[in-house]
Amino acid sequence: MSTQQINIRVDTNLAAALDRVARKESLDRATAIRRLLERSVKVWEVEHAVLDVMRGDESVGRAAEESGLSNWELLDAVRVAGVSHPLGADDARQRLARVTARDPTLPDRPPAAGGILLVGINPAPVSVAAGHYYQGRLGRRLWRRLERVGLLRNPMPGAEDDAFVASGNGLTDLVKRPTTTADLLTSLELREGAESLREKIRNWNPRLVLFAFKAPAAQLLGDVSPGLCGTFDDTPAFLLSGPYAAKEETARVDAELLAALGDVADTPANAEPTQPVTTNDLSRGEIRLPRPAKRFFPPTKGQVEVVLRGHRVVAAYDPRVGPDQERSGVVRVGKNELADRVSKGATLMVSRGLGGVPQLD
Amino acid sequence: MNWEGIPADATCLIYLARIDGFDRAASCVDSLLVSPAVWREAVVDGARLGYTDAERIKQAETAGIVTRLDLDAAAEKRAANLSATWRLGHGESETLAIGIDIGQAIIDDGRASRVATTISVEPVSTLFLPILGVGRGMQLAVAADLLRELAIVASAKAETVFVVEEFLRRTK
Repeated sequence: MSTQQINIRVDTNLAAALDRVARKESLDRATAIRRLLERSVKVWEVEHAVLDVMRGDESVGRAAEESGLSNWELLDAVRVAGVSHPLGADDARQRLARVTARDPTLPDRPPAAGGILLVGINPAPVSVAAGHYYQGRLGRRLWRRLERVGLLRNPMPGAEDDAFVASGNGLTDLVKRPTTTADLLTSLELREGAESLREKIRNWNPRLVLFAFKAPAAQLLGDVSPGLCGTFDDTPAFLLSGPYAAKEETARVDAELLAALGDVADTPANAEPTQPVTTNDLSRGEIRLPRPAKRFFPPTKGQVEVVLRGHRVVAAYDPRVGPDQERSGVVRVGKNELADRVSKGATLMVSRGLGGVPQLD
Repeated sequence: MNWEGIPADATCLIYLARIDGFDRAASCVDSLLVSPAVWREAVVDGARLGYTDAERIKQAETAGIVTRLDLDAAAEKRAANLSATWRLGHGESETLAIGIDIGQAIIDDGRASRVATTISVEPVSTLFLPILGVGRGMQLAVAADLLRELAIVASAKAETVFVVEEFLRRTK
């Protein structure tokens, strides 16, 4: 330690006091003066650091650095000096309102069991204002794309989500807070969103999680690229190519999506058997559905599209629910169509196929 | 840089260490992100000066509640600018430099909080931790106890504590 000599004149009373301290502490006069000076300087530093913090002239960290104190020492001193935490009631109210803000947003639309769950990043304000998912420029483009691949049927413009949900599918977002751009979301929100999304997937048990954008897929599954991008608790996940991807890439990914939807059609657990096909059925060209299998069909009589052993056909459907008693529903696919694909005694399994179209295999 | 968790400055760590509150803090946030300067101020200086509570911060790091970060060159530069421009301490500047990426930072100092707002970082007081906890499923009684302990160690004003308590009930 380097030293420096300082000569000062003090009044005789102070000199006598210094000698008294030196005697009491069994020190020589110079050492006693040095120790008293060190202690006084420290006290002065603390007092001024506390004052600086109290007045807001310095932050705690800066005041500690400038006074040579540690943050621990300065916080102790601030407390001993009776200085309150700087957060006032009004400021706390405003900041808490921001921290806990729950902006209006789009509600989740859970899929029916075995439906597809479409996951976005977060709602655009324009969609929230419209009360429907994907009403921004990129969102509308996404609907057109899903319509092209057959996942969206007969949508009403501006309410495409309703048609999507009517097919048994669902919608949610990684983060529910609407922003004009996803860049405004914080890492914390994304992480919390991923946790919440995991929980939703577990509860809703969709047959496919379809990610509209990369961010939610990456939060859930790590490094991902467009196409089938992993599984979550045995639920396959698929990432669409980005809105600005090349046409060829989009076509490739869409083809892969169609293939994936074929692969991940309702699991056996989600399928229901038809009645065994009898000679009578074959002669009428119809398949009879017991009550559990009716859930894949509309509740009223009419024309329906079905996929019979891989072939899409238009059939007449009658649920036969009354008036006196409920009987098996009937799907009339035509005599030839049925005879070509189904033999007597066969029991078909009914499930929800691509775009919610009933599938009989 | 892609950081996860919420950055916290030395004051937050010291308050939590003093009330032995890191386990409960783990229910409030994913992780407390700690820059090199904050680690030095809270842990190294604390241990050197014989503050035994500093050991709790080390234990919280081992338990994964506290995550130590290295700053990249860009973040270091941002921290240096913040320190020089706004006369903040090194730890506070580094905490805000990380907060710029995340949008939030746990900061209690009044001056540093004002700077945070100026640079679009939401300053989250350590006193708000119980509210974040309730939002993530912490029981109201546990959160209220945590708030009381934090309020004592931070010498919080009574009217401020009332406001936080009011939000606690509303968040529930």
